[in-house]
Amino acid sequence: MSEKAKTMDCDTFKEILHQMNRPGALESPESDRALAHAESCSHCAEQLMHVEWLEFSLAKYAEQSATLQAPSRVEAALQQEFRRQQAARARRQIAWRLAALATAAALFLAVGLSLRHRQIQLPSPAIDVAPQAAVEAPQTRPAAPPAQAPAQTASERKTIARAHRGHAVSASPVEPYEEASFVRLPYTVDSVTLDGGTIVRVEMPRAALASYGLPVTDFGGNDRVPVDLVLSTDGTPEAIRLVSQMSPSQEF
Amino acid sequence: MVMKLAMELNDDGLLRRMSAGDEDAFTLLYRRRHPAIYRFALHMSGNPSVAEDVTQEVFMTLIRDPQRFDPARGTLGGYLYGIARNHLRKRWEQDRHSVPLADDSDSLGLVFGKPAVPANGNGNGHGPIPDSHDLLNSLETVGRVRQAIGTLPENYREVVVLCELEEMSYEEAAAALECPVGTIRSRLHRARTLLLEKLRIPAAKTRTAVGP
Repeated sequence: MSEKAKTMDCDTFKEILHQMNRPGALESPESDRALAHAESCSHCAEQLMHVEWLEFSLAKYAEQSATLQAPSRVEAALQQEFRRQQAARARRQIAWRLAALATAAALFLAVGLSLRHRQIQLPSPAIDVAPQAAVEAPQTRPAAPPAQAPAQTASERKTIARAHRGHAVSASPVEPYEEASFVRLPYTVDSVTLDGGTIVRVEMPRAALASYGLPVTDFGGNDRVPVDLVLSTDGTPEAIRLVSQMSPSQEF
Repeated sequence: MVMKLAMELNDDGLLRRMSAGDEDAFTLLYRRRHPAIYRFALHMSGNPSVAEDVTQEVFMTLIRDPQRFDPARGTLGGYLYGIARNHLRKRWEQDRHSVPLADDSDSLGLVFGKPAVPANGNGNGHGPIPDSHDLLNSLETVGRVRQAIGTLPENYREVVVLCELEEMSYEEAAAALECPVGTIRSRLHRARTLLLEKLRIPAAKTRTAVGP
């Protein structure tokens, strides 16, 4: 038995037997010692021969099966599935985009309707409602109804007969000395009925009142003039009157 | 077009293009990867029909949800092997009567163009190891080895298929099977020992057959 063989016993040889021919699995000196042991041990030599036979057979088997691959019908089926998936994905994307567009359209519509509704509810831009405006509900503090409402007179002007119920609004500019008379605002329709309407006392710019034909020349240097507005049920100003023209008994 | 893609893109690049709807990229990826998956399924199941189904299912999974593959967790090859293993296990669970290779009617033998070698008298496929020089090119030897591989437990069969037949390194096999390299090494050692035991005859007969 050589000196090299003495360094490896059969158990160690058996442990590394399957690694001997695998590239990189063993260090060269260890492989050399194993080969030297096999030369001196017939049992281990037989083991090594069997392993080499097994490795060769496995390599032969691997070589024979290396060219195996799935039939072409598998590739065709997969390509068909790929196209089907892509079409389905495209349909889903279109559906999502349509849904997003519909949502956006609905949102815009809702916002538009909301803005329009608010615009309708807001008073006319010409009327500058002062912060200190006193809003009075007709049920709690009804404004003094026009004491003398010469409605249905021969003149073009019509006065508000009653501020709260069934008010008829004049159709033409009022004369400056007509006390407690409401003047119909230009954009309102004739014979507006103000069921459930509200009288609101506000201050408005003199220029705006002058544009309605109200006599505001004798209000001194005040730029803002107190007025009563008749608001319809939807909040739209319908008629106006100057507060200072009224007698004290008619004031709230 | 496909050739240009093949030269320019690795697996990850092809997968990205495939995810974006590029059919050429998918075709190239399939042609590049499917033979190994098919062979793995074939060696593991011993049945070409099962191997075909498993291969198709593996790539169907990739088509339906390519985003499931995470390059940070491993290679695409390892991912595909993992899907193949899962499908094979499902098949075995669904059809417990179908035992791979050993009890099969050897449909795999038909793949190699030659009927399988019948088992020896002892009924377990064991037989003498003849003189290696006479058997080097013998299909019979290959057939016996193939049958012996088919009788290995699944864990051992996997490492034999990957390390011996697909010639993967321990590291590549470990990545494909999602286990440590040491496990691969020890399983392969045990699998080869089992293979030798299955192919071995009593020592006296071996010496008679092998040696003059």
